[in-house]
Amino acid sequence: MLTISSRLRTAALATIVRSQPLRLLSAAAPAVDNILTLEERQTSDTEQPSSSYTLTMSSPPANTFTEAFLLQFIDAMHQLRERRHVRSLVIKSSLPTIFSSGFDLNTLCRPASRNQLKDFLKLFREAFYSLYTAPFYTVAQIAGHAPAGGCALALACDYRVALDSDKIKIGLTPTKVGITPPEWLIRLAESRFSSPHACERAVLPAQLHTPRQALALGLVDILAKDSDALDQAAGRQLSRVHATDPRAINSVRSLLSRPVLGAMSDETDLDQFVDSVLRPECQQLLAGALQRMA
Amino acid sequence: MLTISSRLRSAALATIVRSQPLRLLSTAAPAVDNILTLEERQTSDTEQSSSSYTLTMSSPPANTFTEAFLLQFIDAMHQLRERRHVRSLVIKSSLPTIFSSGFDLNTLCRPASRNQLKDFLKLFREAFYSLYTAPFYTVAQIAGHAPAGGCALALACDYRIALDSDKIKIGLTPTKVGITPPEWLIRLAESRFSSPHACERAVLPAQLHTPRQALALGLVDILAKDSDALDQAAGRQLSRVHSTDPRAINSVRSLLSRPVLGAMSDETDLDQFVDSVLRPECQQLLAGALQRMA
Repeated sequence: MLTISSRLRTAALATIVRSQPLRLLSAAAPAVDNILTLEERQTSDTEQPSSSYTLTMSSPPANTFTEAFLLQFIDAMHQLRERRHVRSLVIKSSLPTIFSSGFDLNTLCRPASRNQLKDFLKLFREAFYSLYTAPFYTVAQIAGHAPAGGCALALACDYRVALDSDKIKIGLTPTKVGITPPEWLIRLAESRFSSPHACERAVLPAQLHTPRQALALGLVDILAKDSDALDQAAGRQLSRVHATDPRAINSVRSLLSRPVLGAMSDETDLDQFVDSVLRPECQQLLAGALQRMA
Repeated sequence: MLTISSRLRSAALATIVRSQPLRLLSTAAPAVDNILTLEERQTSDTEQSSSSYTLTMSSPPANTFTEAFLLQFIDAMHQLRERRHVRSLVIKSSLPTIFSSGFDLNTLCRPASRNQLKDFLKLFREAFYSLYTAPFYTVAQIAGHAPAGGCALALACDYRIALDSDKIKIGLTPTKVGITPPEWLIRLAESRFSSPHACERAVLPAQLHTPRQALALGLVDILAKDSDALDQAAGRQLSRVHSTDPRAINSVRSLLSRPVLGAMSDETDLDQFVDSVLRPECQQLLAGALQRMA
């Protein structure tokens, strides 16, 4: 069971997002590595002032959604919203074989109280909301595994580029540990898969896919043969985006986002999510999964 | 015009579903073959107690939806719900060239009364409802023709496997005999086809497809080159499913099922369905089709 002291929480917030990657070493708190770093990207836009950023996840071993991760993520999104002319964000991982594996199961297994779990899952929702409604174009650059919440994080972006490697596994796997995902996550998945049935067919049995299979299913938008090609694919999409009007992009996106946003504001859905995690069967599966990892 | 006496009806209900296939020979009613038989499948699950069943349709010549068929089907679904730990069901046909051809046209052509037709179509809806909302994963194993209602039956399952043979024809063909399908059936079709337009494009002209074409359209999920491969493909999907949590699967599925379930509870929709069958043009087409078959 994980708790973050308020001092650590403040330190976590303080470590985020400089325009140069910084490592914060504060005497007041234990050294907290930058879980997330934000760097400005070079852009060749001359037509209009516009900036582009890369958010790099660097939290070994698996960039999991701890409270610190989610707090830093939300803060990164806020910082970007406050800057002017931010047109796009690329999200990637610094870990060689993993994009993100989603929830740190310790945060879900045997929480101190229902309220604590609910607050944590609210934070999770807030992180996704901040990403999904970002007023700039978002690209997930996938060069490693993206199971479970990692896949969800990628799906919440506007565009996904992935390394064409059969070693990589991507997929939504909540049913594996008995989690009933919140409706907004199902609607998000439904909106990305090439058809509603493709979504159901993949999610029910917690299926994992290679990037090539994910491309066919609509989970990934384009493949790249190596990491240079990956950067170039992201760059080309950003160029297209930067040549458009941001207001227009955002209004089209909000029209298409309604099913997901509607579900995100449903408090009953959050309660059902919390209750599904607290089910004995789910807690057992989570504990089992944690044991196998240990 | 077909009527089922209440004695035959009881006999029909009594013949169903033993865990070993049984042939009921009752002296009180004419011998009624088991139209449907239910057998438990071998599973290799060690993690959790779970059972899997096969429902075999054996009603020559075409496994059509007579009242007896629908009653036995509903009873089979009820029996499975009452057993514990049922995780999956495979539906197949014992007839060599046909999965099912759907409605027995005699039940629709010149019914004794509007009420009788309405009761029958309610039974049809109840059978589909019991399949579509089953708390276990359902797989249609298609080794023969599945036109019209037979295609609908397969679509109501979670997963469809088909023999890769161009001799087999699969498709939704209500417009061929002038039937306006109920809205829930259209929503079901829409949810399976790879796109809404693919659905319209196929259903309007009552198009039939080979399994290979059906795969491309989303009507079928995977092909198998022969009947062993067919069984293996079913088994593999069931293994994936059996390693997930049933509660989670069922909640994800019910979120994705809303359009169909909403339409199923619409009584106006049922009345329109009845009225469309009673139209003189439809009755004429049904009579013509019956004559050609005789």
